[in-house]
Amino acid sequence: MALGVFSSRVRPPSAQSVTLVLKASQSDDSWSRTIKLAREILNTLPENAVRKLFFLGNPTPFNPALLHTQQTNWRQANQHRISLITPVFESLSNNDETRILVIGSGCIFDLEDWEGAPILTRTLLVSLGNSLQCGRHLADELLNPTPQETLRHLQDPVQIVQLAGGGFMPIEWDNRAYRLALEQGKAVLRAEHSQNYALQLRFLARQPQEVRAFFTFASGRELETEIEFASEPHPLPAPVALTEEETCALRQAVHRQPFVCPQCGSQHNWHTLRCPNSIENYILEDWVYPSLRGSSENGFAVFQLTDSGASCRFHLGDVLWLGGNEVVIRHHSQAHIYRYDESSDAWLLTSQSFQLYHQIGEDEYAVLL
Amino acid sequence: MQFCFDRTGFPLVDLPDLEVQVHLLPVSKVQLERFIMEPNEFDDAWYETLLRVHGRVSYRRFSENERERVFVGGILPLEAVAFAQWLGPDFRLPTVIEWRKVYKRMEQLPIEESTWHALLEACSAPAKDILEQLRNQIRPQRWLELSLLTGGLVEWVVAESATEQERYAGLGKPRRSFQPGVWNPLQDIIRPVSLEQRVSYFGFRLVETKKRRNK
Repeated sequence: MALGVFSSRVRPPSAQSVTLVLKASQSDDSWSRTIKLAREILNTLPENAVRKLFFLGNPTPFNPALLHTQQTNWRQANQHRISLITPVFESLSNNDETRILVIGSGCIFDLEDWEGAPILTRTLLVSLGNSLQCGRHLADELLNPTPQETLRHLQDPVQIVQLAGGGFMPIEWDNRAYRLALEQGKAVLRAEHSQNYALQLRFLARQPQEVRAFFTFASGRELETEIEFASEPHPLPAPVALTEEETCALRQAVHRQPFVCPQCGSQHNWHTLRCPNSIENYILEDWVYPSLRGSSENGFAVFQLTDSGASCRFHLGDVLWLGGNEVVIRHHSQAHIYRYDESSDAWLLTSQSFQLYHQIGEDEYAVLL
Repeated sequence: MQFCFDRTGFPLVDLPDLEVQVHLLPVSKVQLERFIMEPNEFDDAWYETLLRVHGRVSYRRFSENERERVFVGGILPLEAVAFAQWLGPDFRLPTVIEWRKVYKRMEQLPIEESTWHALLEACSAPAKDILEQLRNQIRPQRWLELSLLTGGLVEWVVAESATEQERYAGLGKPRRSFQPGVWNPLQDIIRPVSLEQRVSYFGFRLVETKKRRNK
């Protein structure tokens, strides 16, 4: 079975965006404490961080910016609503990754209907008196916390993002905080303790929906989500056209013939990638192909050689797709070829070696930079 | 065997020689919650009272031992009538005669796979969850067992009676592990001490008169 190539983007759940849910059907004392905490949180969080306000049992969202003027009216309108979370959860979009903060006292009757649902893992219960859970622990819950404690839990930042799944192998990605690991033949793309977890990538997989994103938060909370598919494929870097001298050199080198160095004009062996005369000639970068100047030293260059000329595309990453179910993976200054084995759902190291000017398809040649 | 669905997506059985369609299952808590989540006189205090009499278990996952708790129990007949009115003008509690007719008809109806799959496709997600779990637990051959007309709760019905106190009664044959009474629903009518006293094993299902749909 040939693996498919897919494009995707990953956006970690925002720590700043909050949906506030209040319980209006409680004693006046509990309501006063609820509204006090809600207002302190609204005042402390950045503007627009609290996007929606709900009351338990009511699917209609209210404008949180008006809470301080409308709290009495809204309480009256909602205090006979039953303490059910389903109307609120059902009115939140499936794609809404905001944190949900529920404040109140006393049982939410239907919380157990959401046991194991991703939306409940994003929910923080704050009970100001009696637990909001009816005897079973189903979600994170703070008992009589201060506003600061609540905020600390609420802003629970992402610490680790991992992507993995059936046949998964990333082949292009735009955020260098993500590193590839092979764990018992399974590819895991992982970023830890980064300032930025946003990611666009192309990857191989059996089925795109088998690939999942796993988020670990500072509190230890974990969230598993589907990844979002990009309708537009992740753009490949634009190829750089080689000069006539570079094309001649390349044509010789791929046939393992000595070539005249476009950099210093001397003849070099076919396997020379860095010009040995560059220091003497005060050349700052020593690639024999001057077009490679400025390229990353942590990737691959893929040359395309045709009858009419040559071009080079830089591939910034640790993995290069060789076509079919094969990839080459960089380990420091070495590269090894792996093939996907369907029966074990694992990427296995092959005995094939990755060579200089490794041929990919008919007219493409890859080198490790 | 044909089905139609109430506003909560739960199935009613349409039996050809009956004037009414009848809920396939007793009314569940998830259905009742659709009703009480709308502003009305039923609030947290009322629901807490009901749940103290007959606890709640999630329709998404319930074990064989606790399956009665998926359904409404401990309800009073006038509360069941209020739910019926919310479902629609033609919904009501069944009479003793109607309930027993349904029982006898369901006794004769085997569960056919094609009907079963069509039912699951058409009903709401909670109804599907409940039906699938019930079928796995009970392994019924006939719709009677799956419908919990036997092995469920005692269900409120309208009894012909001169007094208001005897207007409502119960029919059903719960599992012994749930309620150890020995009743034959085709012979015995169960009358609670008071219509204002909650009894944990009293639930209900509703019928809808066919007139409205056939207009």
